[in-house]
Amino acid sequence: MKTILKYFLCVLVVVVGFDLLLGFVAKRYVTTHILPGDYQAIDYLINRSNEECLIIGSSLAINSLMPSLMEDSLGMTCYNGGANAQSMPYFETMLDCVFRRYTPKMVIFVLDPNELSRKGLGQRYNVLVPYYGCGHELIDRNLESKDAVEPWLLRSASYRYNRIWWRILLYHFIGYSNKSDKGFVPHERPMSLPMLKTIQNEDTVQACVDSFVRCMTICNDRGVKVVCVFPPGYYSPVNGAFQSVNVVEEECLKINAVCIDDSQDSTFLEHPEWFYDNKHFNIDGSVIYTKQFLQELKAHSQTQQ
Amino acid sequence: MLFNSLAFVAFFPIVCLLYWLLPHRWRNLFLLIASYYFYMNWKPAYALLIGFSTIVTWVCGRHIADSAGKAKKVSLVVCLVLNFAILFIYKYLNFATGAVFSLLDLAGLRMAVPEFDILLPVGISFYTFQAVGYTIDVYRGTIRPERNFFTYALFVSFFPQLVAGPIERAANLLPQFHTRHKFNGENLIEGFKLMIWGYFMKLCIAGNVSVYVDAVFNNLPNHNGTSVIMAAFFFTFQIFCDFGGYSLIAIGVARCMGFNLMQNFNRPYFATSVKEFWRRWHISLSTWFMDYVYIPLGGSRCSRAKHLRNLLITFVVSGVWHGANWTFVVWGAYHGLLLCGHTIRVKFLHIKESTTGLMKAVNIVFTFVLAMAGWIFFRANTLSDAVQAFHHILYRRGPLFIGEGKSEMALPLVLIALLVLKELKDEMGWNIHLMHNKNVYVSAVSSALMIIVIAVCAQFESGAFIYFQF
Repeated sequence: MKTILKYFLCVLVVVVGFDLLLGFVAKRYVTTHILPGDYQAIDYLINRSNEECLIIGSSLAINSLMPSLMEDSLGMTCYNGGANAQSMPYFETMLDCVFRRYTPKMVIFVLDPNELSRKGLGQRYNVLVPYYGCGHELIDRNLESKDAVEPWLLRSASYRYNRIWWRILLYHFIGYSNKSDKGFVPHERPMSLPMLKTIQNEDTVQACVDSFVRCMTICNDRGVKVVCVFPPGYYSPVNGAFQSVNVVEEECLKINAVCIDDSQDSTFLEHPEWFYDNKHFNIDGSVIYTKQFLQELKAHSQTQQ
Repeated sequence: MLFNSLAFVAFFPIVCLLYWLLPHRWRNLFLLIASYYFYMNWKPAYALLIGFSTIVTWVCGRHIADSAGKAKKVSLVVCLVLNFAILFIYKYLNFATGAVFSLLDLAGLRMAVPEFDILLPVGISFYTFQAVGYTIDVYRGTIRPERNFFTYALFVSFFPQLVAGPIERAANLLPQFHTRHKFNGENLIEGFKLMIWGYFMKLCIAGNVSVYVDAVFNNLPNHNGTSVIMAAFFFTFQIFCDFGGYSLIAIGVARCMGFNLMQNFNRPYFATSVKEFWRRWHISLSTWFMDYVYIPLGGSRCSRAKHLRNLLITFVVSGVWHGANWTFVVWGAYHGLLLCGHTIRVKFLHIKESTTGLMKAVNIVFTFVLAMAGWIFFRANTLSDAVQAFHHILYRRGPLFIGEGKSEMALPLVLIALLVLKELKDEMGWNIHLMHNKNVYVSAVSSALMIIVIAVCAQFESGAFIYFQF
């Protein structure tokens, strides 16, 4: 019995001790360093951005719109705040964090044609875990909403920094080369895939639609010009418009926002060399699409005037 | 209830504590109730199927023991038919219907294939095989029938190994329910350590590689051969860590309560031949098929042609056992053919295998690659997907898909390296002990560090164990 007590007590002390130590070190690191990878964009949006035009979206945003090309045409500073594998709850959170510090003049949402069909917070919302308990109510609320046990688990540093410490450690020691140009990440890779033929028009999810409507409302209340854009992909066209596109168009109409739907632009289907996979542009495609987007935006603005 | 769920984290300590606090005569009944509660957490109604299988095999077992000649045989046949009928209806009906209608289609009779809305009961193949194995053992006279129904019901439904094995033999497990277990601290600590390593395998390795494997295998048209090879490599470890991890947790949980379950995996990827691989992989199922299918067919004590036929049949049936999909059938046949090839080489042509030095290492790598190729059939969603995967490997090269980023690729590789190092240590018999060190403090600190590794590296949303579906 004595051995059991010794063993389990020792296990408990080491686990709790390490958890506290990890929590202390990691929190200090997060507040004194800019984390690498996706966190650069997250950290920039949450703490330091001051651009007049912000691009919000997933990897579609990162690889589609080039801020350096857009700045002259728009006549305002621009930053691409896209983050890999994110969805509406993340976009709403970023918007909330930015608006707590300042109000940009324009927000561009780069959306997937099935963007409003995503359920839940998205598989990578937990990248925001290092910012838990740092005064961002929406982040705290969303992370805790997972289930009843989650708020308790989030008290553990090992859980909070689960798998995130690895990126910090890896990039801290082997370095991280920031390849982004104002958030835009150019991809030189050539296309190696055939046209995707399995894309479907998915039903929208109400929670996701609500989140999008809240984003639009916040922007409208603050007088921010909103542009929603669906970039083209290298996939077979579907019959009619995507449900998500329809909903976004309706919401844009309500607040006089611009909606550009290029999701089924046939020109791009003839140029697989502009993509590096079925949904993402390589650098050539990004340049071509950014220019096309700017022209379309100009045309929309003239029509509205 | 999943071993990797918070519900189980609460369930197990309570069950373990109450088990040791209860007087011996109540313990089996308590474990029986706990086991049914454990199973009914998933779909309560399906506990009736376990109950039915338990009653049928227990009654038939008693009848077989009390009768002789034809009556004995009839009891066995009734037992087998009833048990396999349930297994067929719940697991294979849609598959069999589809196959029959495909044949009719080929014969020019085109009809709409009826789809039966049947949810596969978790672990049905495991408990059915365990219960059927008991009846056959009673028939063969290798064990006596269990007199106490509740003890037998616990044997069929014992929660640590109910849903994914190890498929226990009555001769090993049933006597343990009659033994008066005394609380043993060493067993508790040993069980705890096995559970820690099992969780590491499941949550850290299987969980982390599953993200990449799913991304590639669920979207094959979008990936080139390089990525498919990487996904196949990851899946080779995913399937081992998922199932091996489950087995270790099951053995650990049982050990904490004083029970010894059979070893299910013995460093399979260090096998030097396909034959050895099957001695090390899913041992409880391999030996089950050996005892109840391969040997009754004639085993190796027959003509060469029949020997090869027996091997092939056994492995095709083993493939079918894994699931109602042609991919599993082909996977089973693939291993059957590999084993036939090995038998021809070693037994018929008398080509000796080198078991030392460089050749041993080459054989290990070669066997690993053969197993990895087989796992492509096992993981592919359809047979055409498997063909497509091999086509990509052979003809479509390109840059490696790095999924969520280099760091997300590097973590599983580091964890796999840690696993291989540990397996290598055990295989080579190196006398280095951390978690199993005799010094309680070294052992405790190593265990604690392992828990921390799990906490910071685990993919907590890795979901159910793969073998649950079988």
